[in-house]
Amino acid sequence: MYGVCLRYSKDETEAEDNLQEGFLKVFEKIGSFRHEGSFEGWVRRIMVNAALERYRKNHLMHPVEDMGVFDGPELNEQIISEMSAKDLMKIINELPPRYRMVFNLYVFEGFNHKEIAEEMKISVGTSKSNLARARAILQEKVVKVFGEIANNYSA
Amino acid sequence: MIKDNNQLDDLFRSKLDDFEQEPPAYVWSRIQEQQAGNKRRMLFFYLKGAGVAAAVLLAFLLGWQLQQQPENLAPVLTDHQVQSDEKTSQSESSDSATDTKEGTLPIQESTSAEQPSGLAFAESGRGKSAVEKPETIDSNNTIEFQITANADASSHGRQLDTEDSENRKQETQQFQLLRLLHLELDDSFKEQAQLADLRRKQRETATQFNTFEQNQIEENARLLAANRMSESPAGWQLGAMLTPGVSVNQSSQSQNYASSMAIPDSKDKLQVGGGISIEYKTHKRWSVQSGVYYSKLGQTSSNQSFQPEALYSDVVSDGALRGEVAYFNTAVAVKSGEMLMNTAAGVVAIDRLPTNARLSSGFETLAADDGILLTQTEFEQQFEYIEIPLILRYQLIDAAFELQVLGGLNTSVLVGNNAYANSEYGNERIGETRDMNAVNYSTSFGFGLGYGLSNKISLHVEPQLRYFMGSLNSNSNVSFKPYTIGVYTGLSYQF
Repeated sequence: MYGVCLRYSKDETEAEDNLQEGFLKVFEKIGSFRHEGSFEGWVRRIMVNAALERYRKNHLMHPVEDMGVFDGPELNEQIISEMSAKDLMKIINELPPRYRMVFNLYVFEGFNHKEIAEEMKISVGTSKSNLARARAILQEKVVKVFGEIANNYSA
Repeated sequence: MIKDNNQLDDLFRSKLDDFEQEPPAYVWSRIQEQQAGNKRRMLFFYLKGAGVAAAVLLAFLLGWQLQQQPENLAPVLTDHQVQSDEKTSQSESSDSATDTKEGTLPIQESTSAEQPSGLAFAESGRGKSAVEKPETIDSNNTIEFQITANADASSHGRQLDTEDSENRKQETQQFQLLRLLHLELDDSFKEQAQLADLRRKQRETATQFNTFEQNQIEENARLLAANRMSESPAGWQLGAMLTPGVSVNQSSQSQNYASSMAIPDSKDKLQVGGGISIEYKTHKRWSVQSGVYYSKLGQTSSNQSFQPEALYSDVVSDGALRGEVAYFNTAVAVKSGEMLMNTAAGVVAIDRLPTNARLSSGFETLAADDGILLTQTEFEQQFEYIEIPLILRYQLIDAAFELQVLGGLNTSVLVGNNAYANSEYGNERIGETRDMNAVNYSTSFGFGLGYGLSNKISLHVEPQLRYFMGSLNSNSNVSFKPYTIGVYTGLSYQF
C-alpha cells in the first residue's frame, strides 16, 4: 500500500502521512468491510480516498491554462527496457499535484473522465486536458532522463 | 517507439501497478500511537465525567461522616438506654429459668415424637421463627436463653448471630433427644459442644457491641423523626458557593455567515464560577433565594478543517508558502482597517494578530477585502458574567438531610469579553467578540441537597440546569444559546 501512496504523493513524507491516515481509516471502518470484493482492493480504495481528500484539502483550483495537443519527444524500446520502477515513481512524484491525481486515477484506478471529474470536483474537459498534459510531461521527462542515459551508453 | 498515449499508460501501468515498497518502520509506530491517542481521548472524556460524579459522591460521604461523629461524642441518651435495656434483660433473665423450661421443653417433646425426620424440620422452623428471638446475656458466664418480646431487633448481623447460636443450642437439644433415644453420641460430640460454647461467648461480646450501635441508630431515627415533626422557624441563610459546571454550546448561524466561519470545537469545557447566596426561608416549606455569582462561558474554535470555497491554493502550493497550506483556512474579513473573524459565538474583532499567524490576502477574485489567517492557532472566546438569580425553592424533605426542588430566573450582566489565541506561544489576547448583549436572562431548574453539619451550618450540593432564553449575541446572523449544567457546592450559615 505504501507503493500506492507513493504514487499519489509528491514525496515520501506525504506518502507516509497518507498511509497513516489510510490505515487509521481502515481500522476505524474495518467493521463495515462487507467481503464483497477483495480486501486488498478495499484497502487500496481507502488509500486512494485519503489521497483524494488530501488533494481536495490542499489543491483546489481550476486550471488557468488550457492544454491543446502536446507533441512530446518519442520513446524507443531501448529506453523502456532501461527504466526501473523507482525512476518512474520519481517522475510521477514530480508531477504537479492535479496532474498526478488525474493520471493516477485514470491509468491505475481505471476511472473514466466523468468519474475523475466527480471525485476531483473539476470538469470533464479539465480532466482530459490534465491527463494530456500529464502524459506530455511524463513522456518528456522519461525521454530526458533515460534518453541521456541511453545516449551515454550508446556513446 | 511509443507514439500513442495508451503505450505510455501501459508503460507506467506495467512497471508501477504492482510496485510495492516497504514503508519506513516508524510509520507503523506512528499509526499505533495515533490509535492509542484516540482511545486516550475517549478515556479522558469518561474520566472527566467520573471525576465529577466522584466529587459529588465524596461531598455526600463527607456529610454523612460529619453527621455521624457528633452523636458518638454525646451518647448521653444512648447510655441510659443501654442501662435500661440491661435492666429489662436482667429481670427477664431472672424469669428465664422458668421460661426456658417452659419454652424449650414442649419443643423437645414435640420433636422427640417425630424423630428422626422431625430433626431437620424443627431446626429450620426454629431458624425462621421471629417470635422466639433469644437474647443472650453473658452475666455469669453461663448461657441462657430467653424468649424476648423485643421486636426492634432489625439488624441483620445480630439476627444472624442469634440465629447461629440458636442453631447451636438446637443441636445440643437434638443431642439430648438422641440421648433420650438411647443413642449414646455424647462422647463423639463433646468437643463440638465445647467449641460451640467458646464461639458463642466470643460472639456475645460482638452482639453487645451491635446492640449498642443498634440503639444509636434507633435514637438517630427518633431524633430525625422529632426534627421532622417540629416546624423550623423562618430565617435567613447566607451561603458561599463554588460552581463547577459544563457549558454545552448551542448555536446556529445563517448560511452565509457559516460559510466563512471558524470551525467550532464541540468539546465541552469545565468552567468554575462561584458566589454568595442569600436565602429567606418562610415558616412553611418555601424559600426565596438570591445572591451574586460569577460565571464564565466560552467558545473555542479551531482551524483544523478546511473550507474549499475559501481556498484557491494552487498558487500557494507551488510557491513559498508550500509548507503551511495544511493549516490555513481561517477566513477573516478585512474591512476598513478591521480584521473580523466569524465564529460560532459571534464576530471576533481581532486587534492583535497571534504570534504564529500571518495574514494573507485571499485568493478569491470577487471579494477583494477577504483575507486568510495563516495559523495553527486555536481561538477561544471567553465571556464573564455576574449573575443575580431569583430562585424559588420548595422543601421536599426538611430535616438534618434536606431535599429541595428549585427553579427561577437569572439575570446575567456581561463583565468580561475577551478572545484569545491558544498556540505553542501561549495564550494571547487577540481581541473581543462583537455585538454581545450586556444583559441576558436565563432560567434554571435543579435539585438542592443539604446536610446539616450543625444547627447553623449546612453543606449544600445542588445540581442545576440553566438555559439562556435568548441569544447572547445580538448579531442577527448568529444565535448563541448555551446551556450549562453545574453543581453548586458550598456551605451556608443560618441566622
